[in-house]
Amino acid sequence: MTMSLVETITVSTPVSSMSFLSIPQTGKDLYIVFSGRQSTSSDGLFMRFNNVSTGIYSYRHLRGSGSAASSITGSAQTWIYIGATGESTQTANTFSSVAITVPNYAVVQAKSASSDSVSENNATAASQTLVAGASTATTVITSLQLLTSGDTFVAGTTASLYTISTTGATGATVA
Amino acid sequence: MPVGVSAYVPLATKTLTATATSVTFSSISQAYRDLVLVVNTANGPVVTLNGITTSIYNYVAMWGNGSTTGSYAETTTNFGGTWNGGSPVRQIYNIFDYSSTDKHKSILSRDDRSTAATNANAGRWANTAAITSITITATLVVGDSFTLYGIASA
Repeated sequence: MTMSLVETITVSTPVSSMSFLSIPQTGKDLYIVFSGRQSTSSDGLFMRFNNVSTGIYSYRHLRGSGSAASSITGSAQTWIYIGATGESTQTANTFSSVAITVPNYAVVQAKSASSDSVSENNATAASQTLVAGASTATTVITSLQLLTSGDTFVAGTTASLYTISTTGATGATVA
Repeated sequence: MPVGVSAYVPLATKTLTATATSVTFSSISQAYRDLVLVVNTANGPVVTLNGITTSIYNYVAMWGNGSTTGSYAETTTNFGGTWNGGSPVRQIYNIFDYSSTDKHKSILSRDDRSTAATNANAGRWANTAAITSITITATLVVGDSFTLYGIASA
């Protein structure tokens, strides 16, 4: 199996962060699927590697709101802005969907990340967001944290971590 | 497809141990429905299919660089970007129905660099031939990595 589920975290009581610990080093890339909502009007979803909270992260994003496009950037941040969650002003019981890829997580080199996210809302104000992120730290990733912006993830929020392996690759020649 | 059989199959992977100007996946198995190509490089690569470098690569792009957004359409001789220096470039290409011989090939891709921009592209390769090789060209350095996956269908 190329994609292997490592762990699914399901929030039962509100928490401000979700952590995947002891990530196996047997894969090439990490793939995270997140479905979530926050308890207030905050909608930022943030990510750290190895719980490092110093200014090693950067990102750029492209966001469409249904009526306009925008783009922001951050450098020397203490997290990567990795997408949007559902939030309290949006239609009840709607959760955002976020897919995150972290390539070469078990290699000693600077790390990058990409994500696609959508928030759901039965109104005009919803969003689709694409993010390019990076960390200057070269250490292998053994844990990964998903964070709110000082808020809490509501019950029912889930996150699943998969490893993608290239072991036994066959079906093409590469040179 | 039987339960338990992987749908996301690694076909080949390469991590450079020396500098290079290109990497080519060839003799690509025609047994899958779609392909996924994942590219991680220090310098912005371009991608060509079946060794063809004529203007049959069409795409619509949208991008954000941290302050400005944009969208454009282009017909050119390859897919991909030309960024150089700074943080790693990560590209992922979803190539649909690559083994068909009766249609132009549709390609969705992301092209990301956290110090430059995030891009999303919808492409069309104006050729009906089955895709049997993929070439990634750039100033490639040690540590750059390339992986090709096959996506199985039922």
